[in-house]
Amino acid sequence: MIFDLSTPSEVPSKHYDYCVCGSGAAGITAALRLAKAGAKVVLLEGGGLDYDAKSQKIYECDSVSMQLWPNLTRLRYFGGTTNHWAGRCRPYKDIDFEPRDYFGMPGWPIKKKSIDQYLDEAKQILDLNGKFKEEPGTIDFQQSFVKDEYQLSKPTRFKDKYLQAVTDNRNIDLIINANVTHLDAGSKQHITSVQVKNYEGHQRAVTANHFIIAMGGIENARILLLSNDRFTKGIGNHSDMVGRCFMEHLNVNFGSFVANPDAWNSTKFMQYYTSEKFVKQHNIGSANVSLRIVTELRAYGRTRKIKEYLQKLTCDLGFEDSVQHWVSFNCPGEGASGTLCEQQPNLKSRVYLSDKVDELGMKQLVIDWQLTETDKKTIRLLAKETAKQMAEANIGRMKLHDFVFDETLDIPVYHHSHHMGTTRMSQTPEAGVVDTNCKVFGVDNLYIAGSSVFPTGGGGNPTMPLLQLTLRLVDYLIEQHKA
Amino acid sequence: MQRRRFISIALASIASSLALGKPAKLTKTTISNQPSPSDDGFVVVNNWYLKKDDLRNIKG
Repeated sequence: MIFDLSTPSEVPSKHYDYCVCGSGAAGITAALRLAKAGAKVVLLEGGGLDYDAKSQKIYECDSVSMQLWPNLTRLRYFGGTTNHWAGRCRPYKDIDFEPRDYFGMPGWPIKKKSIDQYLDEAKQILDLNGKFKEEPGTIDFQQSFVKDEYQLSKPTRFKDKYLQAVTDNRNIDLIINANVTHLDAGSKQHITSVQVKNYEGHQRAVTANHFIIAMGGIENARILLLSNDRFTKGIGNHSDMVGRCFMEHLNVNFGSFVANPDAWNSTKFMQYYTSEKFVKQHNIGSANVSLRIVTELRAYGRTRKIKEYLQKLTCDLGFEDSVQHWVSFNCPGEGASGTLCEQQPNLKSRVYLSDKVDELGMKQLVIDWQLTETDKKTIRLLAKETAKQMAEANIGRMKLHDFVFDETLDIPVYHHSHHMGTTRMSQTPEAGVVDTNCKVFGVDNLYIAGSSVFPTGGGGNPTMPLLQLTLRLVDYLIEQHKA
Repeated sequence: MQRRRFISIALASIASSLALGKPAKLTKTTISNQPSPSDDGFVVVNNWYLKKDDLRNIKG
């Protein structure tokens, strides 16, 4: 059934087995799996069934340090950010789950094999068929890189695919426009209810036996921090770890290259992944590196046409190198590089509560996304190795940007909208927020689903692994509460 | 067309860096396809990551 908290009188007051907060990829997956096992589930969504500016505005927050645009890259309605995700999926590798001492923080306390059994099911959810494959036409690199294997989802829009399955399910009550504003603790070890509020100020409590927070990689930390009455520092924040170790996947353009056309006969795109040997030899993060031939000029914004005209003129005159100090773009026929690069978990890279409040009266977040020296080393080494391997394989010759060689220069880093680490998984409460079963330390009925539990980010897209973890969490809950 | 661009951009940049004269004098030179045997076979010129063989061919 579906209910709308905008009409409070029509929303039933019931007690549920499970309350799932957030109807993105993780929340919908958890709700459907719990309901299939016979549990009574309430699924709470702060937005409606479509994009709405007043809901989206709840995502507003300030970025300090590096810019993240968190109010634009996420979507706040049923289906969440899957409503505009790109769909790239690759399975994590063993090294992604291995502890790496040089990161200075504990890594995954579980082995990759504990989520491997959920890979096929996660693929079904994302409409992925067959094996993960390398990009056809990708030419071999030596030692430091292997050909990357991946698949593209349609991309699956969870709203389109799962809305009817959710609303038709007799075990699920979906309540939209139900903004979760607080987790109510009956004691220091137990959550009794969550407070939900509509946009007109109506507020009520939703009660359940167990609670799963699946509100996204940033908002998961926010609701824990906001629930700070009985837990003065916020729920799960006994070690001041909630919101810490915020990680993204780093998107860096190393430079451009002139392509050897013989190597690019059959493709315009090649994809590589760092080898374990290379990562361990240099104590750096893992990464995907993509190389492509630019086929058209691209510009964005209201002045797009003027920008495109000026870019074309610059390319036609061959002046593109001369203007790179002011504006960076690639002309058609040139080669461009991109990365999806793992960040070192870093206590200083974090989200925390602001003094500003949103329309619902909840404190907004400040996002302080930072790079470490290891991150910079990873980027510079990747750039040089990519350029070297390109020349070695005679794919082309790369001209790297100045920041690769001059360590006094800032590195222009962009994000992939992969928000991870703010409620990290750990063996002990001192280094994390949730245990190996995604249960919040010190609270017996509160769980987190989503990429906020990733203690390290690997070099792959997080959606499929976070679904694997969600399926694992639900199986654990079903097993625990059989009686 | 693409091959000519590949050669001319690389050579123009190398030439300006090494002060070998006007790029126009070098456009007839080709970049070798010979593989470099080891990591030592690379050189950075004006931010271009090149094989040493590339330079030898320019001088020739």
